[in-house]
Amino acid sequence: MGTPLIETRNLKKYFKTPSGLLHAVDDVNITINKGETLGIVGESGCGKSTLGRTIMRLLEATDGEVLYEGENILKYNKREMKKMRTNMQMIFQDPFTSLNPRLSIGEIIAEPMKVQKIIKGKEAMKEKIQELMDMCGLPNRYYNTYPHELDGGRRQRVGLARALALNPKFIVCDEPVSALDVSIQAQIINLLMDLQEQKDLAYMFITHDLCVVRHISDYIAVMYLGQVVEYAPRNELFANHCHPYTVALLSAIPTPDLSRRNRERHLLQGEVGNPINPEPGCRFASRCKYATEKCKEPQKLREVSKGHFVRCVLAE
Amino acid sequence: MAEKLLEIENLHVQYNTDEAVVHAINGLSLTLHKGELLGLVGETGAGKTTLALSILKLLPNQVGEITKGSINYDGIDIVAADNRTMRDIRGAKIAMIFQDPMTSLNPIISVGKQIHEVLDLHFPEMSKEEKEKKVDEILSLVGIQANRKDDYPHQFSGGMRQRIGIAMALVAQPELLLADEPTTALDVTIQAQILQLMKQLQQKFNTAMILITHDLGVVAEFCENVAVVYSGEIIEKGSVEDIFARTKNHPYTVGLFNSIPDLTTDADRLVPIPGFMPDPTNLPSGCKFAERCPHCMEKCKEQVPPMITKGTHSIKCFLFEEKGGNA
Amino acid sequence: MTKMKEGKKALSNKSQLGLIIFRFKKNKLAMFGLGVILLLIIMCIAAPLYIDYESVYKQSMADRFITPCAEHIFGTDQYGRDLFARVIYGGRISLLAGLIVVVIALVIGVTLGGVAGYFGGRVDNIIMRICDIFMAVPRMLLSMAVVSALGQGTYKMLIALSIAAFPGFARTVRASIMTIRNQEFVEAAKCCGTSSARIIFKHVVPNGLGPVIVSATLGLGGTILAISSLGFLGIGVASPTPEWGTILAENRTNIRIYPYLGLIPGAFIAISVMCLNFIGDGLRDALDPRTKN
Repeated sequence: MGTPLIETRNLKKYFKTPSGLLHAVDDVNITINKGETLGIVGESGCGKSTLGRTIMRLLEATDGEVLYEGENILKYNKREMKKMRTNMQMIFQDPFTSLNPRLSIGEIIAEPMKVQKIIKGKEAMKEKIQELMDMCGLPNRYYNTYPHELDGGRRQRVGLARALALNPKFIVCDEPVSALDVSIQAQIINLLMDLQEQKDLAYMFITHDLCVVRHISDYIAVMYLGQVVEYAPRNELFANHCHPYTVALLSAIPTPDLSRRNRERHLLQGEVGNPINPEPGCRFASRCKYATEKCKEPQKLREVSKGHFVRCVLAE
Repeated sequence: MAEKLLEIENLHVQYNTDEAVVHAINGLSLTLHKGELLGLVGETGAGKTTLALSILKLLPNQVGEITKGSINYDGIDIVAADNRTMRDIRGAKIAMIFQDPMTSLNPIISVGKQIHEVLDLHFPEMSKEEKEKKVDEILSLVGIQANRKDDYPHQFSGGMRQRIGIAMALVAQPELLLADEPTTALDVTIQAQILQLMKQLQQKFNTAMILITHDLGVVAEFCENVAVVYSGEIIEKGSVEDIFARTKNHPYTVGLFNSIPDLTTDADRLVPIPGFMPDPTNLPSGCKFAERCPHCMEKCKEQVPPMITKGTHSIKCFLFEEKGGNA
Repeated sequence: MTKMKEGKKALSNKSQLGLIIFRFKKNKLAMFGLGVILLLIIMCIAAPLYIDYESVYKQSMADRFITPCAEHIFGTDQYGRDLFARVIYGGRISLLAGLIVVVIALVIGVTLGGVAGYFGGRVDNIIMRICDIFMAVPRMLLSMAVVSALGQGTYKMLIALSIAAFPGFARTVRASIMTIRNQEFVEAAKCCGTSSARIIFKHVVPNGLGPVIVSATLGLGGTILAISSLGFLGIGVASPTPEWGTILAENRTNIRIYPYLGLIPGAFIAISVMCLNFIGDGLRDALDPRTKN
């Protein structure tokens, strides 16, 4: 168990919509240790991207705290926050919109260093950019090319080089491989893991792909409609998952494995609703086959075994 | 074995752009029988969508061009067919389901009416009441209450829209269904629902189906036969058992398997395929995969390997030439 | 999808600007327009080299109403002034004034539209309502009102037309900024602690300029027309300073007998506006990366 680098305490992000308050992130408590990866899994609309953006302060939290090494960064003013941003960075899902099409690769990677003014002199800057490009497996000849000339995998490498430019300790990875082909996806995942080892990085890895999250994470949090419904160390979660949503999610993933072809499937009925003015009870209850009257009461995350938390009446 | 429905032979398709000729499909041959469920797997740019568009003859005018080969659908020569013939085929005999359920429906026409229109086109002799009945029927088949037929596409969720797309494709009871990444835009739990629905309906109507996807998992769980496409060619085909037994595969297929993190075993690192797919404007003369292949030999760079067939399993690779070695 | 990606790959050897120029060059009408406009501009700029400035104003009762001939290729007007000289020197004012109006309107429009589009919310509301007020009054009427408030004169007219033109640009910029501000590269810039001004002017505005350039080119044609109209109505550039609209106005009583007096300056207005529209259309197509062939 490492030392906590990032923690959220009762983090909430609500959006005002014409039909009511949308609870995109509702009372989320997570901890990410130095050099470790927390995988956040869930379907679209579960609030996983909003969580990442709220931690990065791209969105202002409605309530709660985000602690970086014990200090609440939500209280920071503009100047303190700007300094703070060298410690935490983000990489994005869409390699085609995450790079400014008017800037060359060199300029894109230089941009964070120019903004933070951490490198002085043109030569030193160029050297640093080339070092970053090497680190991310980008040949030097791309220095003066533009994003539209690169394919998705290489663009994602540029995004990673830009994130690493400020030497962060923590990176939010928002579905960084979802838009890539499998063979390219594997290259990027390997690169992420290599860099984590070299630089002792902590990742918050947001994805809907359970295979990928299992491969890369130390801890996994499963989210449903703004809440964490299950939270456990990786192997524990895959071996002993007990929330009915996790069960359904795991059985729905298609795997290239014929032995799983005739497995018992827990197909879910209906679709994910939206968390506008939600009832206090379990948000999964309407799709859950085990739902009882008790599920209408508010549920807390309960520890079922060491480090394994579940938000479900069944877990009592 | 069932009757042959679709036979594609040595198909070449290219796109003529301003700067260069893009060779999208390069000598692809494929046979599909009635009621067969074939999974077509490949990465971006492999030519999967181009193949579907060629079968429907919907390649973009002037840009896309079939340069060689034949497509024979149930005795009709698609390459030579005129527009009128194609209009009768599209929708009635061959239907397509698109990737994006958000954009493939007309936003200003109610869903019931859109399905109704398909019937108007292909069954002009049917009475209005019969058509209405059919619309209700197909909607309930795909799991949408018939009383929602006057709603507009934006009032449905993504999964529901894909159900409507399926209803539209199936209402004229086509013999062949082309599904182009039908579940890629959907969440896994919804994907599972849609795939199950498609399989049920496919069996009910005995429709042949080509499922185009990049997801080997979807193919393993859903299809009977698999064809792996690379650079506009089929480099391996066979039954799911042939391919997913993982005893004998084309080096590219092996690479694909190794790139996917496994749910049951622990690996420190994945083994990606090195390099990138060849530039479709400038293809290598030999095996298209040679540059990235760990077993590449001298002759792979010069000659196109033959399709080597054993039983139902075919692999386009020199490695399996005489002895049927192991990759 | 596959096709698009493959197509993109094939074109990828050129820079973005190179591609735009390449596509623009393929549009024959736009190239024709560009050629004519360039010729007009050169003729106007170089006017002092081949026309004596005095002949613009020199009246000669003996030379009234000479139809186009070798000596006066466009003929002369009711005061015996050489129409060719007046039209060419008039072009200097019409084209230049048009350009100045568009540049002023662009600067105001891009700044306001950029700020409104990027920040949204209340800032956006205030700025756009102000623009709405200006847009609710017809452009000509507004310029006439401003001119009558400030008094007549070339500079005042420029101000009047700029005020009438900027809301249109602000709207265009705002619309394209709104689609860009939510893209991930803007978030990436925020993650690095980039200031709002730097984000707007380095990351957002350069990406939203395409539609603005197009509407500026099209707007230039409209502005030339507006200047001419104001001149014709006698509230723009004051006679005897030559300007295409004023030339038309001066000659309007004699057009029935000497049609060339109306046709020639009219043709200059029509041709330049038309050519600017061709260029605008060509630019719109060239800037749109989805345009191929």
